[in-house]
Amino acid sequence: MVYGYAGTILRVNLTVMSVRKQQLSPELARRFLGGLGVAAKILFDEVASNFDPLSPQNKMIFATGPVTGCPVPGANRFVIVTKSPETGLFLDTYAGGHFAPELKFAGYDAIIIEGRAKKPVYMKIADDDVEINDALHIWGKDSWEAETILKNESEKEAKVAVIGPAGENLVSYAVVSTDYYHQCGRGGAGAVMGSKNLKGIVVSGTKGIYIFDSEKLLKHLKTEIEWKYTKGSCSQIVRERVKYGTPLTMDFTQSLGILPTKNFKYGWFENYDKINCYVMREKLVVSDDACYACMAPCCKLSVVKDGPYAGAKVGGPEYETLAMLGSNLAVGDINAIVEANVLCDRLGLDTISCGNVIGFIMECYEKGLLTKEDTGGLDLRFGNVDSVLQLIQKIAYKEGVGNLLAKGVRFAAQKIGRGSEKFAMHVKGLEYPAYDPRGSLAYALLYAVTPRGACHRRAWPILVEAKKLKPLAPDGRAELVKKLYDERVILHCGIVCDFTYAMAGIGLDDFAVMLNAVTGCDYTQADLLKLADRVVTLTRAYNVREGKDRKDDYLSPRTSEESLMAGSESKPPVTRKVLDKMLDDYYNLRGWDKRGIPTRETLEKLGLNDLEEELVKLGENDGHKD
Amino acid sequence: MATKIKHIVINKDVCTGCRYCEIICSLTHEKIVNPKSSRIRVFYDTINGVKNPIVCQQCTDPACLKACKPVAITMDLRLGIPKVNPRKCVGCGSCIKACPSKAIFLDPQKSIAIKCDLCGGDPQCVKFCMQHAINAIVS
Repeated sequence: MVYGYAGTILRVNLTVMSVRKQQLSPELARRFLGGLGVAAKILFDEVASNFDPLSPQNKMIFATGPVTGCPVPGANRFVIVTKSPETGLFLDTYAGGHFAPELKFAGYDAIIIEGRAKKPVYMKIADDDVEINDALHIWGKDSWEAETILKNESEKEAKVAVIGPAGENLVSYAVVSTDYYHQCGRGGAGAVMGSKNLKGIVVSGTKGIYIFDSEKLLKHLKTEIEWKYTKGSCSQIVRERVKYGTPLTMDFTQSLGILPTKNFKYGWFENYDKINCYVMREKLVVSDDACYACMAPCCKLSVVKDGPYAGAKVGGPEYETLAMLGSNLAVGDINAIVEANVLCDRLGLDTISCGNVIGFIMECYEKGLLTKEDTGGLDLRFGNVDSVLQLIQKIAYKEGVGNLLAKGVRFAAQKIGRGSEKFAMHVKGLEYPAYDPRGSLAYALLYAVTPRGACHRRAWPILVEAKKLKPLAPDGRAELVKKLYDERVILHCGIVCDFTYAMAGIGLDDFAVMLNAVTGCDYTQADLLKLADRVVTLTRAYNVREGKDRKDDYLSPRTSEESLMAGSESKPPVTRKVLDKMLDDYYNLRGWDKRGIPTRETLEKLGLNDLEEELVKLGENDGHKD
Repeated sequence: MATKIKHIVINKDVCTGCRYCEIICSLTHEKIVNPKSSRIRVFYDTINGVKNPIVCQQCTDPACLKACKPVAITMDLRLGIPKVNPRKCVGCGSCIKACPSKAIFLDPQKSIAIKCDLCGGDPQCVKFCMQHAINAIVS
């Protein structure tokens, strides 16, 4: 009997329309646990390097983990691992809701999608039956319409993951959406799905998951975990997070002066009190919604009650959306942000990248690098809400100036040139999210080294950093980032929601107890930390194989050369010298060489000997210079 | 015990749709996590944020019992509630059609009717609902 895992991986080739079921190798599960780890290993092993992410050669792996679906807090997420069209590098992107448990109940740990269908299709999985069906009737529909249609024509409680028009049109930051308000948001998994002519996946399952020691699991849940949520040292934070959701974060970022404003020019937004969590709760929120198996319902259902956007309804806006489509664009109207959020969700665009890209083009416009002729008549001054809303649609359909922005900020800056590269805010092609790294050196390092590019979800260092470390010195950042990142990686292999664990102070010790109760394994915390190190080095190796190394681990010139103005305060740039020191420390802790390439000894130590041949050859021969 | 649980009530306005109740119920009754084998169900209209949690109201004059031709549903005298005998149930679905609350379900794996049995008097879903949306009504 297999505990926790379903034991089966579904392999679908859309080119030849074949469906195969294969066993989840116990060896793979032991070395990489599940989720991110298992999917990363499959991708590394099964694809070559240097191919176009939107070609049929790319694969998409939808993966769950051993605790998915079980009574473990936050065990509701799936990951999509693929090669990102934004960065051309490794991508892992997650969503909650109820899709992942349903996939498990249908009997699968993961789905590997290969090739490209000749015409639009969707997949329908009902336990053992897997169909690839014609999707012409939903191609072109927005994410919400498509999800509703697919639900109506399927088993009553089927769960759905779909792409919107942006994914069909191969916009580089298109999302995969599920349960309407949950997205695999970053890095363009929606475009990869679009390139495969795959509009959606419908899944329903009636099988169960076996748990090794449910008594022990439920006891831990009822005692330790419930205590942490309701009475422990973090319980006050939990109550606030449940009341306000992620938008509470804006309190921290505004007060620390790192809230992106006008394309990261400023770190403090004058209209903060019009778009913060308190206004949102009072004016908009109608319901507190949870993902599957979550004790802290952080999804806020918001409805605009009056004004030009009356009736706009969305799960959110999350902090990132409020900041990137709000302060970053100098939009101080929370109703307009909800409307922009609805548009992005329906069209299938990442609100973070979208807000970043629009902030960039607004700055270009204000600097005179673009005129109204170039923008098709749009007045792209900061704060112009109507232009923002029109631009979002133009991006999704690649019309006019939207086409210029549809490949992300790096590409747009290359096209526009004339110094715009200096304020194109990205790492490796992935747009910055809503924490300005000036003012948080730990975030600067994190953005630099995350495999998928500038990412805020691999650690949340700002509170510890503000309390314990000297603000302007690089010391201690590498240790802090590695520690927090490793812990997240374990949760991402589990897979559980990292947000609820961080919020409630649920530690690795708790997770190990629950994981062992589910699977019957005996992982120690040390085992799990080693596993995390293995997975991080594996994902690094993927990028190294694509020719990336230290030279790609740098931040946008605005971050490394300009000061950040935050109210009356000024925060110095994160200079290359400071970043270099942090990179040296970080590579050293990871066992990577000066160029950020994992050494032979490290690969052996981590049990990644099978990567050695490809990687060591690259490290020695490819002629990259520091 | 002086008090006896009559039935379970759910405050749908407090329910967040996390479905812990379904997980716990299936684990308690079937030793497996499978919401579709749960005796309490949360039908969740995610786009509108509307949760529709459903559980048997333990009618004193149960329509399910009357509708059951194989006499698989009888009154449990100790608990005072209608109960399904899995050995007699043929999965015909008559009880499901008859139930005014739509609170009796067909187990997809075993193809027999399943309904809340109050866990023999100690309902586990009540214990594990972190939002306290599920409560036991006692007599």
